[in-house]
Amino acid sequence: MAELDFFNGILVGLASVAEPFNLLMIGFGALLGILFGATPGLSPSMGVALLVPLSFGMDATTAFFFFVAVYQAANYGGSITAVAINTPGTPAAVVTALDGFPMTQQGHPESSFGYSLYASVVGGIIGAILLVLFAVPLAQVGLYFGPHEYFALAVFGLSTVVAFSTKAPLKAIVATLFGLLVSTIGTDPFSGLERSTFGVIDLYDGVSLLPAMIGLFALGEVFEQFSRKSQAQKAVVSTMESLLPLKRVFAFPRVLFGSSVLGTAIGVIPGAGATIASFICYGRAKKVSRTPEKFGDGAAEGIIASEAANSSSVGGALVPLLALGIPGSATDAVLLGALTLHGLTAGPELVRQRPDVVYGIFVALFVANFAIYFLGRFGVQIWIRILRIPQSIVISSVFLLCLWGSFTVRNSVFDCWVCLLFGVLGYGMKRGGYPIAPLVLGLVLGEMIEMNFRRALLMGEFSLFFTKPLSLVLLLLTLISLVSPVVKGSLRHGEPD
Amino acid sequence: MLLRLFLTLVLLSTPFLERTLAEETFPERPLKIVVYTESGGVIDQTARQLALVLEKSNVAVPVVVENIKGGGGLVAIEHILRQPADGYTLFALTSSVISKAVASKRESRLELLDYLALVVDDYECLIVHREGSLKTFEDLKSFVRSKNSNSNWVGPASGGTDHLFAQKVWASLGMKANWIPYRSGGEAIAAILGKHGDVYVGNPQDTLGRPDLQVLAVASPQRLKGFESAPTFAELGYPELSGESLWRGFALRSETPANVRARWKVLLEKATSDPTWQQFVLAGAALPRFETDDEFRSIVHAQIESDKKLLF
Repeated sequence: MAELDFFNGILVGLASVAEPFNLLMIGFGALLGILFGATPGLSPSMGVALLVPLSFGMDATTAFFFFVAVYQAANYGGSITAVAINTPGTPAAVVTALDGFPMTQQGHPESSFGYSLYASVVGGIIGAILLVLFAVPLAQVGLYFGPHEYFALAVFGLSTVVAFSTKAPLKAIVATLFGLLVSTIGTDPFSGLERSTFGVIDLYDGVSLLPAMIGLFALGEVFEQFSRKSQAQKAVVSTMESLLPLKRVFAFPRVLFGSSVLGTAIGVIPGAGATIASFICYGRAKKVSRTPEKFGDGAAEGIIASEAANSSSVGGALVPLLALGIPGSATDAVLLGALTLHGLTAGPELVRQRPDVVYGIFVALFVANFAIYFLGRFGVQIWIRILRIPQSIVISSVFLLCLWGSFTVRNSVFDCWVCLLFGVLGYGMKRGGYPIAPLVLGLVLGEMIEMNFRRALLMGEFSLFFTKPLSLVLLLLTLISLVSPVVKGSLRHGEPD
Repeated sequence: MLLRLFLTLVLLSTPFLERTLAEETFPERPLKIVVYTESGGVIDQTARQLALVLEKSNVAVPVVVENIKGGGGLVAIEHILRQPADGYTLFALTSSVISKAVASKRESRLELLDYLALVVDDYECLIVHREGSLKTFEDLKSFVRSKNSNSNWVGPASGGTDHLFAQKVWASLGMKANWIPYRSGGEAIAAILGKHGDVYVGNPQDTLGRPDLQVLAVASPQRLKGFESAPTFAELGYPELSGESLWRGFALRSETPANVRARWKVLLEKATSDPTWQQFVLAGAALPRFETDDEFRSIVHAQIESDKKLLF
């Protein structure tokens, strides 16, 4: 088949998506994705993996429109439980919970749900636009990242810890180091030797991230509520009658568009993913904000940065998959396998062989975002009603949901224990005034930092970290990120009263 | 007298009748195939293809694929060993699971499995960037020598089939290189496409749909269809590397009743001779194969010994 030009390709994609059954499946995929994302323990990759067998009855185009909708919607869905009950449905939603949950607690669930929905949709659409326009050149940029650049990116990501450490910098550093330490548990991929597994096979791949995060955030919160049982338990009462107007999200254009573009760019880098995108964009948002002191206490910019970043990273992650046949994220890896099961091979040949699939995916991503918008607006009414349920019932339900969610990650009781253990840890940290997000940051980035540092040293000299341009730029940004609060602080101290 | 003879015959034929009946009635309820990776991986695709073929014409019950990931297959092995030994749970494995068990010094668990059938050979090969300086295997040899043990070979984690094959290649060439492990084959391929690594050790299907990649040499006995320009290691003068593959097969718990096992063997033989199955295997640049009983067991045991030598 001759290769189509861009315009005709989009027309083919439009025609393919416009079939009523395909539109229906995109809508259904968006609905399922939101529900999967909102279920603690079901990450976007697991949601898509669960649905692969269901796709056997569909043709390849319908199946991939369906999967893309699930993938995009699951990233939004993760924010729902994060904002409502401080239980991130996906790893990336950890960052959303930092400001989303406090905003809900302050009696503004319409705002917290509104900001997360609108930022997700705008981020998703921007990610899709960048995918459509720049897939091929962006894929080449992604390939430019070698071990030195990955290491520098991860260290830069780690430097965002300063965004979470305004009140207790030392405690944030301790939490980060603990996260890094926990990330070393598992098999060392270089030597094949087990580290701190104590012979437990369930620890062979390390501590399962989702149960640990569910424990730290949700169970920690549950234990905190239990300990305050003598105090009156009140349901959250919203102060507004209807959902936040859409235009309110555009009041923060720098954060909204900046996070969407940066989130897409991070998504393009194979293996970086939505969680790292959310952390980095949150750190950046706090830096550019006029009110950084509000971050962590219900800042709209915090929610917008996180959600725009993780949703836009979906479009970014599809770039290496469609342009090179390389999975950009864990969900992409499942999509790659699903393509093969449908007799297709991802990569540059696919656009020539099946333009209806590739251009159709471009179009389907836009349609999926609109579906998320409408389903999200409808869903918010339900989520807000859930918040009116008495806290005692909510807390008990969250407790069970946490254990069930942890179990479903690998059908493993061991992961329930991990969740409980990290729940106790999360509670202890809250009591001791230690921030939780830096621990998660250490857990998420630890492997990336260690593996790429070791790869880089095996491949060449140490000096390459400073002679490779992108690596150098990222390391300099890290330095600025770490030093600027100290400089700002000393300047403030020097100011006359 | 006649009555006694009749009764004797009936008694003698009872086990045979039981066995035949069991063979005919099995399976009576849904079958489960346990896969040690997430949905979408090569072994997952293989298990799902088998499920489709079995359901199509061989069994009258649903065949469900269950993904029990973790520990490179060790978690799935433990799961299998916890199931009843009634033949209703089949384990889809690859040679990589054997290597993982050996690397983690848990090969004793492998003895508790009954290796039913090896069904696919996915031959190992060396892959490079098409636009790089390495065009032939001779180029690669000169390059590795010139780099003085510092060429970078990439692939999945250490101790897996690909890493062990790389070690065998180095031993055959009488040289050393760096093994740079990645979390997955996909990330390692990205390193080759980005020219951060020199050689990727994997399987021919890793190049499908990726025109920038080129197979330099393959361990299949003959040149593979669709990869006619890639010489075999035997042709290149390294017959000891020929036949090295990331095989795929199926196993049961070792205490599974013999009649159920026999039924499975028949089912697998039928399913793997189905044209749909054959087409699926060939489309993935692999070759169909059928080895059971002693042949399969000896392949597993030979691999255990070979892996031990390389790893410890």
